[in-house]
Amino acid sequence: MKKQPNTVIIIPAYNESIIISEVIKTAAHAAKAQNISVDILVVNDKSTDDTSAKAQKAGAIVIDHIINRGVGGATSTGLKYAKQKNYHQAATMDADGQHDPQDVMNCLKQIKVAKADLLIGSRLSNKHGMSLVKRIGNNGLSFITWLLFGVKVSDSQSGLRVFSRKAIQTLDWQSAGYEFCSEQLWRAKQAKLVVAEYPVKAIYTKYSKSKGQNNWNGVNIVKSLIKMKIKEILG
Amino acid sequence: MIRYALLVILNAPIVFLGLTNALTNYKLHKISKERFIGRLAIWLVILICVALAFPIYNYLSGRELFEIYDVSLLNIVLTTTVIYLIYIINHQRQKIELLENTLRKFHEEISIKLSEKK
Repeated sequence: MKKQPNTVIIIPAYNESIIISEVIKTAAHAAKAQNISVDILVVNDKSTDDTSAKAQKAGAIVIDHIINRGVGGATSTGLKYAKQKNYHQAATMDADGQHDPQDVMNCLKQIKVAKADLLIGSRLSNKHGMSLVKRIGNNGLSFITWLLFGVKVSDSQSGLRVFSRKAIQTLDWQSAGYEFCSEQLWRAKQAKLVVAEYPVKAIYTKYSKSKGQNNWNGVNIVKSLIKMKIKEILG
Repeated sequence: MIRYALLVILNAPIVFLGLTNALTNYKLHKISKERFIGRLAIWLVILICVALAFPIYNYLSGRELFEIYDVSLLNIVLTTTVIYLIYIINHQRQKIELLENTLRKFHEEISIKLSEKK
């Protein structure tokens, strides 16, 4: 029987059939080139296209959600899988090809160097290609995350994250949407996990731009985060 | 004065129920310390307001903006209803949250199990 790798790369995906195979293959290739043994897990969030079939064909482990929950929900399922299978490390990356797999590998190495439990791949250290509106939005959300939850990071909304074994075992959050990015940082702080950042680049193609967060979604995220904080205070 | 006593008698049990629930949930690790402190603060503020209803009414009755008269039986019923509703809303919201969490975990678990069986 083949030995299970220590690391899993989790890719939450919703209607990504156009690009998912390429994302999986480039990630697998980058891992092989770096001599890192990984499993690639795609959490298909009830896509209406053939994301699941294509991911399976590209060699990924696929978990199909029964209902569409959102990126936060899909990431949570991925991390739960990592916990159940006792992986030592887990990384999350976007399914739209926004992340360079090489950066994922670098982050996997860096988390050990930084002795961190949660490593955020910060796109704001290298803003090349990021529109001004997105830059303002991301900075604004990072500021609000700091204001509400006291967690200071430069890119609170980055989907490229690496989790240590301790983080896999302890982290749990409730948000199902994009606001999970900030909530996850908050829960990490509550669990006294060490959070670190590492600069990564974001690849903005026409496709990844079309799939990314809508600017108006930022308003919804802020609303959800404020609600979350009030709920926590008021019980 | 007897009406103020009635206000306290009617509301104190609800407030104590709220306080007990908050303490029990905290001790059973169902809520975080932050959440416990928040809930404790809310119920204590309500308790203080109920207990000090007489001086508060006296103080406010002379103010131009408030123009409060002596507490009436209707005021007592309304205040009790509001406090009871706060308790009910809080209790129901907690139940919904618990249910949401259970459903979320169930969905994750079942998705993983079904995918493994494929």
